[in-house]
Amino acid sequence: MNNNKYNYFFAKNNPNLQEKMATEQFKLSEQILDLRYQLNLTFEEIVDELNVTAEEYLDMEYGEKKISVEKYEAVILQLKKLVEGTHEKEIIKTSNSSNSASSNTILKKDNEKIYLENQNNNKTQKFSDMSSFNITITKHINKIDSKYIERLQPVN
Amino acid sequence: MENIGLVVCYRLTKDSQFFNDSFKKYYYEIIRNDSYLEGLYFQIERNLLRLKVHENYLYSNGEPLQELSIPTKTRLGMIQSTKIIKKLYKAKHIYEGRINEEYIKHRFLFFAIDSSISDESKVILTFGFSKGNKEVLDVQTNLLSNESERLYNSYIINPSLVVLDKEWKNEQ
Repeated sequence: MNNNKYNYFFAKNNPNLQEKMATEQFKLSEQILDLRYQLNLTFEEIVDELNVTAEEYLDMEYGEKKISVEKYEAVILQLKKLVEGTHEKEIIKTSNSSNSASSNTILKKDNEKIYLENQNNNKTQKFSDMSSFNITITKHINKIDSKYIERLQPVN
Repeated sequence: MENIGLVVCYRLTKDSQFFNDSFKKYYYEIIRNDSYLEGLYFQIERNLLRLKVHENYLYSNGEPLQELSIPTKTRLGMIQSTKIIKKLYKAKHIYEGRINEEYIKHRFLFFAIDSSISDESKVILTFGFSKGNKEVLDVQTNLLSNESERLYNSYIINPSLVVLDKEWKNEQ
């Protein structure tokens, strides 16, 4: 029984592909593909970020059985950290509806410093700690995802 | 912007002048009989299903898709970057799936439908063909992409008149 969230039409009546899709490695390769699409990185870029060879990474995208489950899981962990890192860098992009299109603000964390960048006028505001950031951010952004805020640490 | 829910084939009946190039026939006669092509097609489908559909066009990372490249292996195991999907310019809604080998090029054509037209968003495969000669390949691509656009228009006018592969696989 295939519990995959993707509906692979031609795999349904294909014993070879059904057998492949039943492996733990294939299921993990589905996560790897999902994460690559989330990251929007090229093959070369993603290989650069991981501690694997290009051949190993490609085998993992293909769901090859010759790679151990542990290695798949290690790569998934690394990719998840990259996704989190991407979120921390971009962090929140929002248009402030109360201030029309003039406010398009991005919160950034880079080298342990927190910035609030207005994309419309390229002005950047730097924060020394979380409390000053929190006070300011509430003026700029109506909705904010708390999980991103929790990840930000105060800057000394 | 929605996820693609399904990849299916357009039903071309045997009296159609294009029946011999129908994707389903192509899949079972060419792709399915070649483990390399079968694996590569499956990998293309896995990537295809991770794209989004909006107003019957494919999107990747919020941008309309013009082409998509992924790493693949040649028959000899060499890694290469392969352009697997390309938006055709001459046919407004048609995309081309691609597998290039040294002496032969494989092509399949499809269009995307979002859930405002159908019960769920889907990719509908129309034709598949392989050619060694680029000029012949281009002629075939032009002919079948025009026919694919016509099939797209038929589907848009009345999806219920079009029988898709998931409903007729027992006839194969």
